[in-house]
Amino acid sequence: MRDVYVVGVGMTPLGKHLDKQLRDLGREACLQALRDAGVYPGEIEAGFCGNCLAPVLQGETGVGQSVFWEAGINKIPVINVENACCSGSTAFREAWLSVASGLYDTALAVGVEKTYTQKGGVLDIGTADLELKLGLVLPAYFALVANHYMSEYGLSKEDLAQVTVKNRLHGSLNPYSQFQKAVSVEEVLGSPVISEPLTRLSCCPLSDGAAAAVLVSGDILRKLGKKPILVAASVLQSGGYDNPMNPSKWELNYRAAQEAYGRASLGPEDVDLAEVHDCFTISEVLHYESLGFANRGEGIELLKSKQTYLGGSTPFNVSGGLLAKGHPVGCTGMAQIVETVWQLRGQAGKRQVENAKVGLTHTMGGMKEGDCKAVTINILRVG
Amino acid sequence: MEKGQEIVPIDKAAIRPLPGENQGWCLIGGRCLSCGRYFFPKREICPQCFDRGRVEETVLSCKGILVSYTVIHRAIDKNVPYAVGYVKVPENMVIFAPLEIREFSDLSIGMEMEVAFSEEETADKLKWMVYKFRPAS
Repeated sequence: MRDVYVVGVGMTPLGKHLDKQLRDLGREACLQALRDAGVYPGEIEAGFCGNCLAPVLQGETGVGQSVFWEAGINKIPVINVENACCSGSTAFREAWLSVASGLYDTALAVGVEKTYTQKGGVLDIGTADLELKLGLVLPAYFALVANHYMSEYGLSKEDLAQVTVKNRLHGSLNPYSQFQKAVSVEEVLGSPVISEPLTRLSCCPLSDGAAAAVLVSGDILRKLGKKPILVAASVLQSGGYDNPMNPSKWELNYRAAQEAYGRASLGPEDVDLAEVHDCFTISEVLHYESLGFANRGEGIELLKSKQTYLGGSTPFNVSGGLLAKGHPVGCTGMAQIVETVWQLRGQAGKRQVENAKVGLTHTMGGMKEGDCKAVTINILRVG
Repeated sequence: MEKGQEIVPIDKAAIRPLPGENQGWCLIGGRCLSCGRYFFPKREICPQCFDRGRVEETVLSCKGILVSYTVIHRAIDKNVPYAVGYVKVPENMVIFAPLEIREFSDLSIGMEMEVAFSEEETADKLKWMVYKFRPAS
Protein backbone atom coordinates (compact mmCIF):
# COMPACT_ATOMS: atom_id res chain seq x y z
CA MET A 1 0.00 0.00 0.00
CA ARG A 2 1.43 3.38 -0.93
CA ASP A 3 1.43 6.69 0.90
CA VAL A 4 -1.63 8.95 0.54
CA TYR A 5 -1.70 12.70 1.15
CA VAL A 6 -4.49 15.15 1.93
CA VAL A 7 -3.88 18.00 -0.50
CA GLY A 8 -7.02 20.13 -0.22
CA VAL A 9 -9.74 20.69 2.37
CA GLY A 10 -12.83 22.77 2.88
CA MET A 11 -15.87 23.03 5.12
CA THR A 12 -18.95 25.13 5.79
CA PRO A 13 -19.47 26.72 9.18
CA LEU A 14 -21.53 24.25 11.24
CA GLY A 15 -24.88 25.17 12.70
CA LYS A 16 -28.15 26.43 11.26
CA HIS A 17 -28.50 26.31 7.46
CA LEU A 18 -32.26 26.36 6.98
CA ASP A 19 -32.07 27.73 3.45
CA LYS A 20 -29.59 25.13 2.15
CA GLN A 21 -30.08 21.53 1.05
CA LEU A 22 -27.54 18.75 1.55
CA ARG A 23 -26.25 19.24 -1.99
CA ASP A 24 -25.71 22.97 -1.42
CA LEU A 25 -23.69 22.38 1.73
CA GLY A 26 -21.79 19.55 0.07
CA ARG A 27 -21.03 21.68 -2.96
CA GLU A 28 -19.57 24.46 -0.83
CA ALA A 29 -17.24 22.08 0.98
CA CYS A 30 -16.20 20.22 -2.17
CA LEU A 31 -15.47 23.38 -4.20
CA GLN A 32 -13.38 24.75 -1.35
CA ALA A 33 -11.41 21.51 -1.18
CA LEU A 34 -10.87 21.36 -4.94
CA ARG A 35 -9.67 24.97 -5.07
CA ASP A 36 -7.49 24.47 -2.01
CA ALA A 37 -5.91 21.47 -3.74
CA GLY A 38 -5.58 23.12 -7.13
CA VAL A 39 -7.48 20.19 -8.66
CA TYR A 40 -10.20 20.37 -11.33
CA PRO A 41 -13.51 18.50 -10.86
CA GLY A 42 -12.69 16.34 -13.88
CA GLU A 43 -9.51 15.11 -12.24
CA ILE A 44 -11.33 13.38 -9.39
CA GLU A 45 -11.41 9.63 -10.10
CA ALA A 46 -13.63 8.40 -7.23
CA GLY A 47 -16.03 10.07 -4.80
CA PHE A 48 -17.03 9.05 -1.29
CA CYS A 49 -19.93 10.76 0.47
CA GLY A 50 -20.57 10.24 4.19
CA ASN A 51 -24.14 10.83 5.36
CA CYS A 52 -26.23 9.05 7.97
CA LEU A 53 -29.80 10.31 8.11
CA ALA A 54 -30.80 11.74 4.71
CA PRO A 55 -33.23 8.87 3.95
CA VAL A 56 -35.00 9.49 7.27
CA LEU A 57 -34.79 13.26 7.71
CA GLN A 58 -34.77 14.57 4.15
CA GLY A 59 -36.37 11.62 2.37
CA GLU A 60 -33.28 11.51 0.16
CA THR A 61 -30.97 8.71 -0.98
CA GLY A 62 -27.95 8.80 -3.29
CA VAL A 63 -26.74 12.03 -1.71
CA GLY A 64 -23.19 11.65 -3.06
CA GLN A 65 -24.09 11.77 -6.73
CA SER A 66 -26.11 14.96 -6.19
CA VAL A 67 -23.38 16.64 -4.14
CA PHE A 68 -20.60 15.73 -6.55
CA TRP A 69 -22.51 16.87 -9.63
CA GLU A 70 -23.07 20.24 -7.95
CA ALA A 71 -19.28 20.40 -7.74
CA GLY A 72 -18.97 19.52 -11.42
CA ILE A 73 -18.08 15.87 -10.86
CA ASN A 74 -19.77 13.09 -12.80
CA LYS A 75 -19.00 9.78 -14.58
CA ILE A 76 -16.92 8.37 -11.72
CA PRO A 77 -17.55 5.65 -9.14
CA VAL A 78 -19.43 7.17 -6.19
CA ILE A 79 -20.01 5.44 -2.87
CA ASN A 80 -22.55 6.67 -0.35
CA VAL A 81 -21.28 5.75 3.08
CA GLU A 82 -23.45 5.28 6.17
CA ASN A 83 -21.77 4.31 9.41
CA ALA A 84 -23.73 6.31 12.00
CA CYS A 85 -21.56 9.12 13.42
CA CYS A 86 -18.57 7.59 11.63
CA SER A 87 -20.12 8.11 8.19
CA GLY A 88 -17.81 11.01 7.29
CA SER A 89 -14.65 9.47 8.63
CA THR A 90 -15.51 6.14 7.01
CA ALA A 91 -15.91 7.99 3.70
CA PHE A 92 -12.45 9.40 4.34
CA ARG A 93 -11.07 5.95 5.07
CA GLU A 94 -12.58 4.54 1.88
CA ALA A 95 -11.07 7.39 -0.12
CA TRP A 96 -7.71 6.75 1.54
CA LEU A 97 -7.92 3.02 0.76
CA SER A 98 -8.88 3.67 -2.86
CA VAL A 99 -5.66 5.67 -3.40
CA ALA A 100 -3.43 3.63 -1.08
CA SER A 101 -4.34 0.49 -3.02
CA GLY A 102 -3.21 2.05 -6.24
CA LEU A 103 -6.64 1.83 -7.87
CA TYR A 104 -6.98 5.62 -8.06
CA ASP A 105 -4.59 8.56 -7.84
CA THR A 106 -7.04 11.31 -6.86
CA ALA A 107 -10.14 10.86 -4.71
CA LEU A 108 -12.63 13.17 -3.01
CA ALA A 109 -14.30 12.51 0.34
CA VAL A 110 -17.15 14.60 1.73
CA GLY A 111 -19.30 14.36 4.84
CA VAL A 112 -22.64 16.18 4.89
CA GLU A 113 -25.66 16.22 7.20
CA LYS A 114 -28.66 18.30 8.23
CA THR A 115 -30.12 17.47 11.62
CA TYR A 116 -30.93 20.99 12.82
CA THR A 117 -34.64 21.60 13.47
CA GLN A 118 -36.30 24.72 14.84
CA LYS A 119 -38.07 22.83 17.60
CA GLY A 120 -35.01 20.86 18.69
CA GLY A 121 -35.49 17.62 20.60
CA VAL A 122 -33.80 14.28 20.89
CA LEU A 123 -32.52 12.76 17.65
CA ASP A 124 -34.80 9.91 16.59
CA ILE A 125 -32.72 6.86 15.71
CA GLY A 126 -35.72 4.57 15.23
CA THR A 127 -36.95 1.56 17.21
CA ALA A 128 -35.41 -1.41 15.46
CA ASP A 129 -33.42 -2.55 18.50
CA LEU A 130 -34.94 -3.98 21.68
CA GLU A 131 -33.39 -1.28 23.87
CA LEU A 132 -34.91 1.45 21.72
CA LYS A 133 -38.32 -0.26 21.85
CA LEU A 134 -38.00 -0.27 25.63
CA GLY A 135 -37.43 3.48 25.78
CA LEU A 136 -33.67 4.00 25.56
CA VAL A 137 -32.66 7.20 23.76
CA LEU A 138 -29.14 8.32 22.86
CA PRO A 139 -28.60 10.84 25.67
CA ALA A 140 -29.90 8.27 28.17
CA TYR A 141 -27.38 5.71 26.97
CA PHE A 142 -24.55 8.14 27.62
CA ALA A 143 -26.09 9.03 30.96
CA LEU A 144 -25.95 5.33 31.90
CA VAL A 145 -22.29 5.34 30.90
CA ALA A 146 -21.66 8.49 32.93
CA ASN A 147 -23.39 7.20 36.06
CA HIS A 148 -21.53 3.93 35.96
CA TYR A 149 -18.16 5.67 35.55
CA MET A 150 -18.99 8.23 38.23
CA SER A 151 -19.93 5.49 40.69
CA GLU A 152 -16.64 3.65 40.03
CA TYR A 153 -14.27 6.63 40.13
CA GLY A 154 -15.99 9.34 42.14
CA LEU A 155 -16.34 11.87 39.33
CA SER A 156 -18.71 14.77 40.02
CA LYS A 157 -21.20 16.60 37.80
CA GLU A 158 -18.99 19.69 38.10
CA ASP A 159 -16.00 17.70 36.82
CA LEU A 160 -17.94 16.55 33.76
CA ALA A 161 -19.25 20.04 33.05
CA GLN A 162 -15.69 21.22 32.56
CA VAL A 163 -15.56 19.37 29.24
CA THR A 164 -18.21 21.70 27.85
CA VAL A 165 -16.50 24.72 29.42
CA LYS A 166 -13.22 23.87 27.68
CA ASN A 167 -14.76 23.09 24.31
CA ARG A 168 -16.98 26.16 24.30
CA LEU A 169 -13.92 28.25 25.03
CA HIS A 170 -12.16 26.65 22.07
CA GLY A 171 -15.25 27.10 19.93
CA SER A 172 -15.25 30.83 20.61
CA LEU A 173 -11.92 30.96 18.76
CA ASN A 174 -13.26 29.06 15.73
CA PRO A 175 -15.29 30.93 13.08
CA TYR A 176 -16.66 27.55 11.86
CA SER A 177 -18.05 26.65 15.26
CA GLN A 178 -21.82 26.50 15.83
CA PHE A 179 -21.47 27.99 19.30
CA GLN A 180 -19.32 31.08 19.59
CA LYS A 181 -19.73 31.93 23.26
CA ALA A 182 -17.89 30.51 26.24
CA VAL A 183 -19.98 29.13 29.13
CA SER A 184 -19.37 28.46 32.84
CA VAL A 185 -19.81 25.29 34.88
CA GLU A 186 -22.91 26.91 36.47
CA GLU A 187 -24.46 27.54 33.07
CA VAL A 188 -23.77 23.97 31.97
CA LEU A 189 -25.33 22.46 35.09
CA GLY A 190 -28.17 25.00 35.09
CA SER A 191 -29.35 24.12 31.58
CA PRO A 192 -32.39 21.79 31.28
CA VAL A 193 -31.82 18.18 32.36
CA ILE A 194 -31.99 15.77 29.42
CA SER A 195 -31.13 12.50 31.18
CA GLU A 196 -29.60 12.65 34.66
CA PRO A 197 -26.83 13.77 35.06
CA LEU A 198 -26.57 15.12 31.51
CA THR A 199 -28.00 18.59 30.91
CA ARG A 200 -28.60 20.20 27.55
CA LEU A 201 -25.17 21.85 27.53
CA SER A 202 -23.60 18.47 28.36
CA CYS A 203 -24.88 17.21 25.00
CA CYS A 204 -23.85 18.05 21.46
CA PRO A 205 -26.40 20.04 19.43
CA LEU A 206 -28.39 19.30 16.29
CA SER A 207 -26.43 20.79 13.38
CA ASP A 208 -26.08 21.22 9.63
CA GLY A 209 -22.82 21.27 7.73
CA ALA A 210 -20.39 19.74 5.28
CA ALA A 211 -16.65 19.11 5.09
CA ALA A 212 -14.50 17.69 2.28
CA ALA A 213 -10.97 16.62 1.44
CA VAL A 214 -9.02 15.73 -1.70
CA LEU A 215 -6.67 12.76 -1.29
CA VAL A 216 -3.85 12.05 -3.71
CA SER A 217 -0.88 9.79 -4.37
CA GLY A 218 2.68 10.96 -3.87
CA ASP A 219 3.16 11.59 -7.62
CA ILE A 220 0.12 13.85 -7.81
CA LEU A 221 1.18 15.65 -4.64
CA ARG A 222 4.57 16.47 -6.14
CA LYS A 223 2.93 17.70 -9.37
CA LEU A 224 0.70 20.00 -7.35
CA GLY A 225 3.62 21.22 -5.27
CA LYS A 226 1.71 21.34 -1.98
CA LYS A 227 2.85 20.78 1.60
CA PRO A 228 2.72 17.03 2.28
CA ILE A 229 0.12 16.05 4.88
CA LEU A 230 0.44 12.26 5.10
CA VAL A 231 -2.31 9.88 6.20
CA ALA A 232 -0.18 7.88 8.63
CA ALA A 233 -3.07 5.63 9.70
CA SER A 234 -6.77 5.27 8.89
CA VAL A 235 -8.49 2.69 11.08
CA LEU A 236 -12.10 1.48 11.23
CA GLN A 237 -13.49 -0.97 13.78
CA SER A 238 -16.78 -2.31 15.09
CA GLY A 239 -17.78 -3.22 18.63
CA GLY A 240 -17.56 -6.57 20.39
CA TYR A 241 -21.18 -6.80 21.65
CA ASP A 242 -20.00 -9.40 24.13
CA ASN A 243 -21.76 -9.78 27.43
CA PRO A 244 -20.96 -9.01 30.17
CA MET A 245 -19.84 -5.63 28.99
CA ASN A 246 -18.46 -2.88 31.20
CA PRO A 247 -21.11 -0.15 30.89
CA SER A 248 -18.51 2.64 30.95
CA LYS A 249 -15.66 1.17 28.93
CA TRP A 250 -15.81 1.21 25.15
CA GLU A 251 -13.38 -1.58 24.36
CA LEU A 252 -13.60 -0.88 20.65
CA ASN A 253 -11.81 2.44 21.23
CA TYR A 254 -8.91 0.72 22.96
CA ARG A 255 -8.60 -1.78 20.14
CA ALA A 256 -8.79 0.83 17.40
CA ALA A 257 -6.26 3.08 19.13
CA GLN A 258 -3.76 0.22 19.41
CA GLU A 259 -4.15 -0.55 15.75
CA ALA A 260 -3.82 3.11 14.72
CA TYR A 261 -0.66 3.73 16.73
CA GLY A 262 0.78 0.49 15.38
CA ARG A 263 0.10 1.42 11.78
CA ALA A 264 1.42 4.97 12.22
CA SER A 265 4.45 3.75 14.20
CA LEU A 266 3.94 6.34 16.91
CA GLY A 267 2.30 6.69 20.30
CA PRO A 268 0.11 9.12 22.25
CA GLU A 269 3.25 10.99 23.35
CA ASP A 270 3.85 11.96 19.70
CA VAL A 271 0.37 13.40 19.15
CA ASP A 272 0.26 17.22 19.13
CA LEU A 273 -3.52 17.59 18.98
CA ALA A 274 -6.57 15.34 19.03
CA GLU A 275 -10.07 15.90 17.65
CA VAL A 276 -12.22 13.31 19.44
CA HIS A 277 -15.87 12.34 19.64
CA ASP A 278 -17.23 14.46 22.51
CA CYS A 279 -20.90 13.82 21.73
CA PHE A 280 -21.54 14.10 25.47
CA THR A 281 -19.25 15.38 28.21
CA ILE A 282 -18.53 11.92 29.65
CA SER A 283 -17.32 10.77 26.22
CA GLU A 284 -14.26 13.01 26.10
CA VAL A 285 -13.09 11.89 29.54
CA LEU A 286 -13.30 8.26 28.47
CA HIS A 287 -11.48 8.98 25.20
CA TYR A 288 -8.48 10.38 27.11
CA GLU A 289 -8.17 6.92 28.60
CA SER A 290 -8.93 4.69 25.62
CA LEU A 291 -6.63 6.68 23.33
CA GLY A 292 -3.76 6.18 25.77
CA PHE A 293 -3.39 9.65 27.29
CA ALA A 294 -4.47 8.68 30.81
CA ASN A 295 -4.96 5.56 32.88
CA ARG A 296 -8.43 4.18 33.47
CA GLY A 297 -10.20 6.30 36.06
CA GLU A 298 -7.72 9.17 35.81
CA GLY A 299 -8.88 10.96 32.65
CA ILE A 300 -10.42 13.89 34.49
CA GLU A 301 -7.01 14.92 35.86
CA LEU A 302 -5.89 15.89 32.33
CA LEU A 303 -8.80 18.28 32.11
CA LYS A 304 -8.50 19.68 35.62
CA SER A 305 -4.79 20.38 35.10
CA LYS A 306 -5.62 22.09 31.78
CA GLN A 307 -3.36 19.75 29.79
CA THR A 308 -6.08 19.26 27.18
CA TYR A 309 -6.74 22.97 26.76
CA LEU A 310 -5.22 24.99 23.90
CA GLY A 311 -1.74 25.74 25.20
CA GLY A 312 -1.62 22.52 27.21
CA SER A 313 0.53 19.45 26.61
CA THR A 314 -2.02 17.78 24.29
CA PRO A 315 -4.93 19.98 23.27
CA PHE A 316 -8.16 18.05 22.70
CA ASN A 317 -10.89 19.48 20.47
CA VAL A 318 -9.35 22.90 19.85
CA SER A 319 -11.99 23.27 17.13
CA GLY A 320 -14.64 23.22 19.84
CA GLY A 321 -15.40 19.54 19.31
CA LEU A 322 -18.92 18.23 18.85
CA LEU A 323 -20.13 20.03 21.96
CA ALA A 324 -19.33 23.51 20.64
CA LYS A 325 -18.46 23.22 16.95
CA GLY A 326 -21.50 21.06 16.31
CA HIS A 327 -22.34 17.54 15.19
CA PRO A 328 -23.93 17.22 11.77
CA VAL A 329 -23.71 13.45 12.08
CA GLY A 330 -22.25 12.40 8.73
CA CYS A 331 -20.11 15.53 8.45
CA THR A 332 -18.31 15.34 11.79
CA GLY A 333 -15.58 12.85 10.87
CA MET A 334 -14.62 14.93 7.84
CA ALA A 335 -14.77 18.19 9.83
CA GLN A 336 -12.18 16.73 12.19
CA ILE A 337 -9.93 15.93 9.21
CA VAL A 338 -10.28 19.46 7.85
CA GLU A 339 -9.42 21.00 11.23
CA THR A 340 -6.39 18.74 11.61
CA VAL A 341 -5.07 19.63 8.15
CA TRP A 342 -5.45 23.34 8.89
CA GLN A 343 -3.58 22.85 12.17
CA LEU A 344 -0.74 20.91 10.54
CA ARG A 345 -0.37 23.64 7.93
CA GLY A 346 -0.37 26.45 10.50
CA GLN A 347 -3.64 27.84 9.14
CA ALA A 348 -5.79 27.61 12.28
CA GLY A 349 -5.71 31.28 13.29
CA LYS A 350 -6.51 32.06 16.93
CA ARG A 351 -6.83 28.38 17.85
CA GLN A 352 -3.52 27.31 16.29
CA VAL A 353 -1.64 24.63 18.21
CA GLU A 354 2.02 25.64 18.16
CA ASN A 355 4.31 23.51 16.06
CA ALA A 356 1.63 20.93 15.25
CA LYS A 357 3.17 18.02 13.37
CA VAL A 358 0.95 15.05 14.28
CA GLY A 359 -2.84 15.14 14.61
CA LEU A 360 -5.24 12.38 15.64
CA THR A 361 -8.96 12.30 14.82
CA HIS A 362 -11.44 9.96 16.45
CA THR A 363 -15.15 9.35 15.87
CA MET A 364 -17.44 6.81 17.46
CA GLY A 365 -20.88 6.01 16.13
CA GLY A 366 -24.05 4.06 16.78
CA MET A 367 -25.28 2.29 19.86
CA LYS A 368 -25.64 -1.46 20.19
CA GLU A 369 -26.00 -3.65 23.24
CA GLY A 370 -24.00 -1.46 25.57
CA ASP A 371 -21.27 -0.80 23.01
CA CYS A 372 -20.93 1.31 19.88
CA LYS A 373 -21.32 0.24 16.27
CA ALA A 374 -18.23 1.84 14.77
CA VAL A 375 -15.07 3.74 15.60
CA THR A 376 -12.62 5.46 13.28
CA ILE A 377 -9.20 6.80 14.12
CA ASN A 378 -7.10 8.75 11.64
CA ILE A 379 -3.58 9.95 12.26
CA LEU A 380 -2.24 12.68 9.99
CA ARG A 381 1.26 14.04 10.08
CA VAL A 382 3.41 16.50 8.21
CA GLY A 383 5.11 14.19 5.73
CA MET B 1 -58.89 -11.44 26.25
CA GLU B 2 -60.83 -10.27 23.23
CA LYS B 3 -60.07 -11.85 19.89
CA GLY B 4 -57.73 -9.67 17.87
CA GLN B 5 -56.39 -8.03 21.04
CA GLU B 6 -53.56 -10.50 21.53
CA ILE B 7 -50.67 -9.41 23.68
CA VAL B 8 -47.40 -9.72 21.83
CA PRO B 9 -44.07 -10.04 23.65
CA ILE B 10 -41.79 -7.07 23.01
CA ASP B 11 -39.19 -9.57 21.77
CA LYS B 12 -39.86 -13.31 21.42
CA ALA B 13 -36.18 -14.03 22.05
CA ALA B 14 -36.20 -12.06 25.32
CA ILE B 15 -39.39 -13.03 27.16
CA ARG B 16 -42.04 -15.74 27.02
CA PRO B 17 -45.14 -16.82 28.92
CA LEU B 18 -44.63 -19.43 31.62
CA PRO B 19 -46.34 -22.77 30.86
CA GLY B 20 -49.92 -23.15 31.99
CA GLU B 21 -52.83 -20.75 32.21
CA ASN B 22 -52.03 -17.20 33.31
CA GLN B 23 -48.78 -18.18 34.99
CA GLY B 24 -47.03 -14.96 34.13
CA TRP B 25 -43.92 -14.40 32.07
CA CYS B 26 -40.17 -14.99 32.36
CA LEU B 27 -36.94 -13.61 30.94
CA ILE B 28 -35.26 -15.94 28.48
CA GLY B 29 -31.89 -16.04 26.85
CA GLY B 30 -29.72 -18.47 24.99
CA ARG B 31 -27.07 -20.86 26.24
CA CYS B 32 -24.45 -22.52 24.03
CA LEU B 33 -24.43 -26.25 24.76
CA SER B 34 -20.80 -26.44 23.74
CA CYS B 35 -19.07 -23.63 25.64
CA GLY B 36 -21.77 -22.80 28.19
CA ARG B 37 -21.90 -19.11 27.33
CA TYR B 38 -25.14 -17.17 27.88
CA PHE B 39 -26.72 -14.67 25.50
CA PHE B 40 -29.53 -12.15 25.92
CA PRO B 41 -31.74 -12.14 23.98
CA LYS B 42 -31.51 -15.73 22.69
CA ARG B 43 -29.62 -15.85 19.41
CA GLU B 44 -29.28 -18.28 16.52
CA ILE B 45 -25.61 -19.25 16.82
CA CYS B 46 -22.73 -19.03 19.26
CA PRO B 47 -20.11 -16.77 17.61
CA GLN B 48 -17.30 -18.87 19.04
CA CYS B 49 -18.58 -22.42 18.52
CA PHE B 50 -20.75 -21.86 15.45
CA ASP B 51 -21.89 -25.29 14.22
CA ARG B 52 -19.74 -27.15 16.73
CA GLY B 53 -22.21 -25.88 19.33
CA ARG B 54 -25.91 -25.16 19.59
CA VAL B 55 -27.69 -22.30 21.29
CA GLU B 56 -30.75 -23.45 23.20
CA GLU B 57 -33.36 -21.36 24.95
CA THR B 58 -32.94 -21.00 28.67
CA VAL B 59 -34.94 -19.27 31.40
CA LEU B 60 -32.92 -16.55 33.10
CA SER B 61 -32.90 -15.60 36.78
CA CYS B 62 -35.52 -13.15 37.83
CA LYS B 63 -33.21 -11.18 40.12
CA GLY B 64 -30.19 -8.98 39.48
CA ILE B 65 -28.05 -6.08 40.73
CA LEU B 66 -28.49 -2.53 39.43
CA VAL B 67 -25.15 -1.44 37.90
CA SER B 68 -26.27 1.88 36.40
CA TYR B 69 -29.43 3.92 35.91
CA THR B 70 -30.65 7.27 34.67
CA VAL B 71 -33.87 9.27 34.84
CA ILE B 72 -34.85 10.45 31.36
CA HIS B 73 -36.42 13.89 31.04
CA ARG B 74 -36.41 14.29 27.26
CA ALA B 75 -37.42 11.39 25.01
CA ILE B 76 -39.42 10.54 21.91
CA ASP B 77 -43.11 9.61 22.09
CA LYS B 78 -42.89 8.52 25.74
CA ASN B 79 -44.13 10.11 28.92
CA VAL B 80 -41.22 11.63 30.79
CA PRO B 81 -39.73 11.39 33.30
CA TYR B 82 -39.03 7.68 33.41
CA ALA B 83 -36.06 5.58 34.55
CA VAL B 84 -33.96 3.00 32.71
CA GLY B 85 -30.92 1.05 33.80
CA TYR B 86 -28.49 -1.83 33.45
CA VAL B 87 -29.01 -4.89 35.64
CA LYS B 88 -26.42 -7.63 36.09
CA VAL B 89 -27.97 -11.08 36.35
CA PRO B 90 -26.34 -14.20 37.90
CA GLU B 91 -25.80 -15.60 34.41
CA ASN B 92 -23.03 -12.99 34.17
CA MET B 93 -24.80 -10.70 31.72
CA VAL B 94 -25.63 -7.02 31.91
CA ILE B 95 -29.18 -6.42 30.70
CA PHE B 96 -30.79 -3.14 29.71
CA ALA B 97 -34.23 -2.58 31.24
CA PRO B 98 -36.82 0.07 31.97
CA LEU B 99 -37.12 0.48 35.75
CA GLU B 100 -40.29 0.49 37.80
CA ILE B 101 -39.87 2.68 40.87
CA ARG B 102 -42.13 4.81 43.04
CA GLU B 103 -39.54 7.48 43.88
CA PHE B 104 -36.56 8.04 41.55
CA SER B 105 -34.50 8.97 44.61
CA ASP B 106 -34.89 5.37 45.84
CA LEU B 107 -32.68 4.13 43.02
CA SER B 108 -29.08 3.37 43.90
CA ILE B 109 -26.32 1.49 42.15
CA GLY B 110 -25.82 -1.90 43.80
CA MET B 111 -29.43 -2.42 44.85
CA GLU B 112 -31.08 -5.78 44.32
CA MET B 113 -33.72 -5.82 41.61
CA GLU B 114 -36.33 -8.29 40.40
CA VAL B 115 -37.92 -8.64 36.99
CA ALA B 116 -41.55 -7.65 36.45
CA PHE B 117 -43.83 -7.73 33.44
CA SER B 118 -46.54 -5.36 32.30
CA GLU B 119 -48.64 -4.55 29.28
CA GLU B 120 -47.95 -1.43 27.31
CA GLU B 121 -49.96 0.08 24.52
CA THR B 122 -48.15 1.95 21.76
CA ALA B 123 -49.56 4.86 19.79
CA ASP B 124 -50.88 2.53 17.09
CA LYS B 125 -53.04 0.69 19.68
CA LEU B 126 -50.86 -2.42 19.72
CA LYS B 127 -50.47 -4.18 23.09
CA TRP B 128 -47.00 -5.33 24.07
CA MET B 129 -45.80 -7.34 27.03
CA VAL B 130 -42.61 -5.71 28.25
CA TYR B 131 -40.17 -6.59 30.99
CA LYS B 132 -38.90 -4.17 33.62
CA PHE B 133 -36.88 -4.41 36.77
CA ARG B 134 -38.02 -3.08 40.15
CA PRO B 135 -36.52 -3.15 43.62
CA ALA B 136 -36.55 -6.72 44.95
CA SER B 137 -39.30 -7.25 47.53
